[in-house]
Amino acid sequence: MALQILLVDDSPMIHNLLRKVLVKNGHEICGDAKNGKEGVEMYKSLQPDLIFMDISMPIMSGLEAAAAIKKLNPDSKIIMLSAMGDEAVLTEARVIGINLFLKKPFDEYKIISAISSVA
Amino acid sequence: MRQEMIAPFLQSTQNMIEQMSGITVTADGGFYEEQSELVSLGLATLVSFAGKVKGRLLIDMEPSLAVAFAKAVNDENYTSDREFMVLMSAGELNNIVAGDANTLINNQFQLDLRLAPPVIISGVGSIIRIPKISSMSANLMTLQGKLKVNIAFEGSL
Amino acid sequence: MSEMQDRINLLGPHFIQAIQEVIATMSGMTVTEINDCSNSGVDGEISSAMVLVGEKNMLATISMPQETAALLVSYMTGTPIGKITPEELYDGVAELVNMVAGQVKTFVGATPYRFQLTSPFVIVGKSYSIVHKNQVTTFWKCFETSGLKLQLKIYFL
Repeated sequence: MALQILLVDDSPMIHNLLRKVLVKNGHEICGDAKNGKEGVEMYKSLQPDLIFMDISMPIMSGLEAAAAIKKLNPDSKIIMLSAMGDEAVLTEARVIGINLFLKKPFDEYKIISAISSVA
Repeated sequence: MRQEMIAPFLQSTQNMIEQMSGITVTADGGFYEEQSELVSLGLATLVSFAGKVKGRLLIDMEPSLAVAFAKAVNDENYTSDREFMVLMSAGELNNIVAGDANTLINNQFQLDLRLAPPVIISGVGSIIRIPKISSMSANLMTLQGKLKVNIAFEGSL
Repeated sequence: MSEMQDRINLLGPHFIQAIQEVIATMSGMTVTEINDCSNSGVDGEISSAMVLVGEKNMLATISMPQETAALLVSYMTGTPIGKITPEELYDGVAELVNMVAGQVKTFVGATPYRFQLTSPFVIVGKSYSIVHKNQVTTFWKCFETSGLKLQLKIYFL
């Protein structure tokens, strides 16, 4: 099923990579946000099916943004992206209610598998 | 500096470049103590981290390698290492390497290290000097160019 | 008012105060803020930089021409300009950003903008550039002392 997906990451390279894989697999990128604050704003207006959200970003971190989005809609689907995957980060993500944690780097298989397990 | 603290950075650099771009990386010798200043190969990225200790990872690479890496990762053509996506890709590589290595270190030593975003320094021959902190370097080779990994932790580890 | 503007309003004046106080204390030189940074003619041959790691990360850089660095370090150390070694010069400017950041850290310790210092580093060269990811807000101020110029940049990463 084609999903409307919101990308929230401050890395243009990650945007590029995700966009290529997601579009190739029939999904639609409904928004590109460069920080958590933009992500929350875009979530409100776009109501995407799924969000890919980086953790470390300027202005508002991914964890803050994810918490804000989960408060707006506890059923929102968020896949958290991060270069760090230690226990402390994973615990924090679980407390917020993140649906899945994906450690960078990732390939097409990991991205598509992540979507299948969440959507 | 303890070997267990620095080895993951070298391993991660090799692994991540290969995983992300398919570029084969071979070590050109092991770690050695770096002199106080590095003369940049062309594109240097620096990620600082802090928690119970502080440190930083510097990955310095030749422009040809930076361009080849960005081309492979983004599947797009670039001609100069000063192009935005080439700079950003090198920065993201350091972020991913530092994140991967620090994940291992955090889980092993409970240091609560957190990363700051990468700082990207572009310019062949620029001197990067980090006073008052000893650091270890390792040289790496690829068919597309050389790179250097330099890692430093403050304090007695 | 946005959170970013709040940060700039709180941190900016502290950095200005810190750079003026640190230079005055260390060298006895009076540093005056220049209003129009774009026409200041500040050429960053030497940049001392530090990543400040906190809930929100920053990069602080103090850039200046070689001539300004030599004069400042000469006054700071009491060494005649002609006798300052490159090592002393770079260590001196690294110490400058270290002290400025340290002073700001004490000012903001009780606020949500508190941060940890990391190792300062110095970049030297004629044609280097410091690059960041998209949409980085910067706070930029230029100063003059004894006819010489320097600039402070804070990147909100």
